[in-house]
Parts: sequence; C-alpha cells; structure tokens
Amino acid sequence: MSDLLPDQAAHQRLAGSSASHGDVPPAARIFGLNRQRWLPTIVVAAIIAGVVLGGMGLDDVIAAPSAGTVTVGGSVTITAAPGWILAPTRGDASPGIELQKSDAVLTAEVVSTSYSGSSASMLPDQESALSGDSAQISYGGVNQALISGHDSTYVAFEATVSSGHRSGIVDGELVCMVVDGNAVVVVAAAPQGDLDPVVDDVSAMIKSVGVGG
Amino acid sequence: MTASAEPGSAGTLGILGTPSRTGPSGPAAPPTSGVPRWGSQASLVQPRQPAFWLYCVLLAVGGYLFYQEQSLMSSLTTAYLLSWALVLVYAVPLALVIYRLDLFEREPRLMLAAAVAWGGVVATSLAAQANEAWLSILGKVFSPDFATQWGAAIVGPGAEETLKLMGVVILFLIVPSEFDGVMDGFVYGAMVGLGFTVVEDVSYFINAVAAVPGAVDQSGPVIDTFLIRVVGGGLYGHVLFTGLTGTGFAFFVTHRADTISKRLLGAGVCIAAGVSAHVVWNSPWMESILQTTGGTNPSVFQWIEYGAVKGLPFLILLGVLVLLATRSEEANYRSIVAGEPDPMVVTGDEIRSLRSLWARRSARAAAGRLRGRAGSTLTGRLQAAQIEYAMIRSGTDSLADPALDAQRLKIRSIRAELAAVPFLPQPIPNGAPVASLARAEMAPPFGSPAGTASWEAAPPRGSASAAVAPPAQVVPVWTPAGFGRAPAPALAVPAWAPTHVVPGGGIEAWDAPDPARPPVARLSERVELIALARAGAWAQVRGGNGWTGWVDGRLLVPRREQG
Repeated sequence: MSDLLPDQAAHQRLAGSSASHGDVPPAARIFGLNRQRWLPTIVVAAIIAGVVLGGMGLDDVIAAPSAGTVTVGGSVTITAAPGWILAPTRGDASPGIELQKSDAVLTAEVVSTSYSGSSASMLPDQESALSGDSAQISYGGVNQALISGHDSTYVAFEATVSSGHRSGIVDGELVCMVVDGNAVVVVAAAPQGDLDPVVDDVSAMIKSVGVGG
Repeated sequence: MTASAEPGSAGTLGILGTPSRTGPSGPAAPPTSGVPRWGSQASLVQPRQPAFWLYCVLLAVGGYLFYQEQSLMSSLTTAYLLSWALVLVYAVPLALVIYRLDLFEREPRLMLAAAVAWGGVVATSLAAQANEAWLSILGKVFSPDFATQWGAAIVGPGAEETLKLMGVVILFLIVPSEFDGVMDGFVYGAMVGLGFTVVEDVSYFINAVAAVPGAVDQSGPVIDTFLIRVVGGGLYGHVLFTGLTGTGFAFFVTHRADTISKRLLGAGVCIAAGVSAHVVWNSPWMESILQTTGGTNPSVFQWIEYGAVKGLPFLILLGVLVLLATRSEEANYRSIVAGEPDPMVVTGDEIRSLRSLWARRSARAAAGRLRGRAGSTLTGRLQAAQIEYAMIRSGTDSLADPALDAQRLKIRSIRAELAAVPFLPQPIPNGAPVASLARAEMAPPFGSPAGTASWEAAPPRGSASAAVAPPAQVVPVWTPAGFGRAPAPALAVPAWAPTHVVPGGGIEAWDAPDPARPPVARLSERVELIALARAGAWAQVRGGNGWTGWVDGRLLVPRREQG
C-alpha cells in the first residue's frame, strides 16, 4: 500500500481489492492465518462447542433420575428405567402408578389380585376402558407372549385424545399380564413420534413387572 | 506519499487545476477520524482469517444435517413445496425491508447471504442437537413436567440465541470493516434470524402435517400453521430476537470511543432484550388469551392478540433502536460530506430527506407533485447519487479524487435534468397567510445550499441589484469544469433586464409552485423582477440580487405598463 498514490489507493479500497482487505503480512500470521484473530475465533468456536457438544456430553454424564422399583398394587412391583420418575399423585385417586419421562407416560395398575383367567380374556375390557378415554382409537394386531414368564397379551394403538395436557394424537401399547394371580394392566403412550425413542425403556419396564419380596 | 498522509497537506481545493495522477494528489478531505469508511465494501472470502474457515467448517457440518432433515421432510412433497412457497412469500419482502432499512451503506450481498445461511443452515441444525440435549438435562435436574412446561422458554433462548449471535460474531471476525455502526449489527442479526425462522417454520409446517394420521391432507395443516406462526406471530420471531442481540453486539464493537463499561452496558441491555423477548415468547405466560370454549382451536385473531401482548413491547424497542441507529447513520453521512466545497452536491434539507425511507419517499412524492413522474424519478436518482457520493467520499482521502469529481458532475447533471422538467400547473391559494413580516424580510432559502435551492442559475456577479429584493446568500461555486473531466451542464444566466415589478401592496412569494406550502417571503411593492418561467398561473421570478422564487404571475405588473 505504501507505494501507491493516493488516488490509486482510494480506488483500490473502493474496489475491495485484496491489497486493502484481509491480506495479512507474513509476520502477522500463525499457520498462514491472521495471528490477531486466532484467539477470538477460538473463543467463538469454544462457545459453540460448549452449547452443542457440551450439552450432549453433560446429558450423557448426568444420571437420569429414576423412580427405582415401585409397588403397582398388592405385591406387584415394576422397576422404572433410568429417567422415568413417578408422576405427581393423580387428582382422581386412580389406582396404580404413573411413570413419566419427557412426554411419554407409562401407567400400571393391578385390576385384580385373585385373577384366574388368561391375559387374553382381560383384553376386551381394557380396550373398551381405553376407548372410553379417547375421542378416537384404533388398535393393531393382538399379540400373545410370555414376558418374564408371565402370560401376557398386548396390542398397539393410536388414539386421538382431547383432554388436559395430552391432547392430540398419541401412539401407545396396551399390555395385559397375569402375574402370580394378579391381573396387571400396563399402558405406555406418547405423542405421535415420541414413543420410538423410549420403546426400549418401555420394554425393559414391562419385563421388570413381578411380585416383590 | 502514503494514502493516509493527505489531511491538511494541500492548501487549495484544486478548483481550477486538474489533479495529476502522478503529482500531489490535490485537495485533502477534512480529517475523517471516527467517520466510517462506507466506501470500503469487503468480500466474505477472506482465506487469511481463521473465522472464515470456522464458518466454512460449520457450514459444511450444518449443511449435512440440514440436507438430512430436508430430505426427510421432502417425502411429503406437496406439504414441503407449499411450505417453502409460503415462507418465501414473507421472507423475500422481509429481507428487502431489512436490507433497505440500512439507509446509506448497504451491506455486501454475499455477506448478507452468509448471514441468512448461518441462521437457516448452521444455527438451526446445531440448535436441534443442542436443544434436545439441554431439554433432557433440564428434565433430569428438575423434573420432566418442568422441562415440558418451561423447557422451550429456557433452552430455546439459551441455545438458539447463542448460536445465532455467534454467526454475527463470526461475520464480524471475518470482515470487521463491514461493521461501521449499530445498524449493521441489526441488519446482520436480522438476516441470521430470518434464515433461522424460515427453516424452522418449514419444519413446523411439515410436523403439523405428519401429526395427522396418514398425512392425507398435506395443505390444510400447513396453511393453519402458517396462519398461527406467521400471520399471528410472525413479527415477533427470530428476526426480532437476533435483530436485538446483533444490535447489542454491534454497539460494543463500534462504539470504541466510549468507555468499556458503557459499551458493555449498551450491548448487555440489547442482548438481554433479545434473549428476554425469546423467553417471553416461548413461555407459557398469558396462554389464557388462547383459551376457547368447547375444545375448539384458538382463532387467528386470538393468536394475533397473544402475539401482540407478548411480542409488541420488544418490537417497539427494536423500532426505537433502529430509529436511533438511523439517526446515527445520518450523522455519519453529515460527517462524511462535511467540507464538501460544491454546494450543489447535497443540501441540508436533502440530507434530512435522506434520513429515512419515509422521508425519501416524501421527497420523491413532493417532486412528483410539482414536476410529475419525471420529477419523482429524477429526485430518486439524485438521492441515489448523493448516497453514492458519500460512499466514494468515505473511501478516499482526497477531495480531488477523480471518482469524486465524476460523482459531482453526475449530481449536477441530474439536477440540470430535474430543473429542465417543467412544473405542473398548480392552483395558487388565495390569501395564504405569511408566517410573519419579520420572516418575510429575512433571506429566503432560495439559492442557499441549506434551503430548497433553485438550481437553475447562479446569481449574476457585479450586477446592480434591486435593494428591496430579499438578499440572496452568497453561494460558493464549485466549477465542475475545473476538474476537466466533462462539461458542466449548461446553466444559462440571463442578463439583468427586469421584465416586471411587484404591484402596490406587495405580494407573497413561495419557494416552489406548491399551494400546500406556506409563503416564505413578502416582496415589497415596486421591486423589479425577471420572470423566468411560467407554470400555469405561477411565475418563477428572479430579483436583481439573484434571489429566485415563485409568485402569482397574474399579479405582476409588466415593466413597460408600469412605465
């Protein structure tokens, strides 16, 4: 720049040439880049990394609180997966318990402590009870299996709910189990699209249903 | 000689001489310490700046995540195309408004595109990851219920505003010279916010479609969500939030003359306002406005009311800040053009008419009323040329810079074109009040560089002037021909040969043949005048001292009749 005439210098500035913008003398470079701007750039990069990677790392580090093993009713217990906690006591004093994680909920209830039927025979009553709570509901195919040695029947559903905080479309799973003479009903539900991330948790919790000591 | 050694080095203004490219550079511009270099338009591509490479890397990472997200959403083809069409309907005009609010030195388009890309591609993609993590943390530390209710109000502003503001900071680190004032921070912040809100809106529209089982109706949910998010609350979104935070950042980096505490305070207030606006907007406060009976959805009007209650105070704050920034830009313009020896370049009134889009439009409209469409168009060209002059002037240290000369000639040429456009016939108000006799006896603004000047002719020198005519101010004349670049527009100067006299009792005079304006002077009886032009019943007259104005031509007495 110093050997340029003023008019030329002015025109060069107007043209935005590299001679007047961004060209850094070799002595002022580190790794070929402007020495003065390294520190602020690193600070900016650190802030972005802190917000994104820091958040993800912290999320992994912080242990999710868990309700642990809780009594569903009678002697039947369920072990909450990490991150699942007991919901505040429901106002209607419904029997059973409600676990929640984010927008997903899992309710478990012992409907009979001296049940002699099969899990499949429980299903129609539970389906109609669930239908009564929903504006619209559709069920998938019925499955039967032994879950942790307990006779179980389960069915997926998709319901439209229009009450309270959970209005909207929800996906869920209705599970009927016979656990040592106890008729146990487990319902897991979450807003559409939110069930997939917790399906492993739900599966683990259903497998944990048993009779406590 | 170095380019920066000019101030004070030349004694003459070079009016008569042609500055040499190889010799002394001619007159020096007044010292421009603290005055922004508007003429310096820098490129985004700065390979020597670490921030440039940080931007590139993050754009690549964000671009990959963005592509994945968009690919997923595009499976709902109709909804996807409709969503983008709807967001472009508001995004393009909004981008133009933001761009044009920067009244004087508009930012390089590549830089603005980089800001939009940061908001839409980088910030949205990274924020999606960050939001999920921080929401989870919130649920663990407090409770899932708390996270559900307050997560959006805490995590959204925290992560999103940080990521968006970092985009503005990175652009600053790449090209600091483009941040000349607070207004630039607003522009870049608003552009980042615009990019963010566009991509976020598309995502919300598609989610609304996906939430309906089967996604059979791909347009209804998109339009419903558009009405809620854009029509109901579009004014109070990310453009507002990041406009405020960007303004705060620019305040800090551009007010270097202030104390550090003042800079921190100013920046802190603006950034806190931007984050607070986001917190309030995302919070569950005032949701009672959206309550309905019978489980129906809130109406668009309810959403508008909800948005206004939660967002309008912050929008007003941003409006005030933008207004203050505009005044600052106007002050910068005055500083840049200060010392200009050619009074034809820009007058004080013209600077005032450049201070806002509204004022500019008003000036063009006024010219249109007087001279028709051509007058309006030429006034617009004159305004653009006067702004361009400041760009050139701020980029040079010499008043004799050839580019500056060329711009002066361009302005004179436009003025000559404007002067040649005939006035439209205008009615003359009867008995319009004169402001005061004292004012009538003051020098009228005609011919004054600070007034609404009459540019048709310079005052004749050495002629006998009628003592009773309002005195004309002495106007220093910058002779364009002195620079030897192009001939000056022909400016006819008639000889002093009075054609009319003012009738008994005197008459009122106007600065333009516009009945909407008040008279600016009262001419004493028997004052001799030359009638220069006619526009309907109006007559443009000139006094013996060069003063010009407009009078009711029907009242003038021809000199021969006056005998």
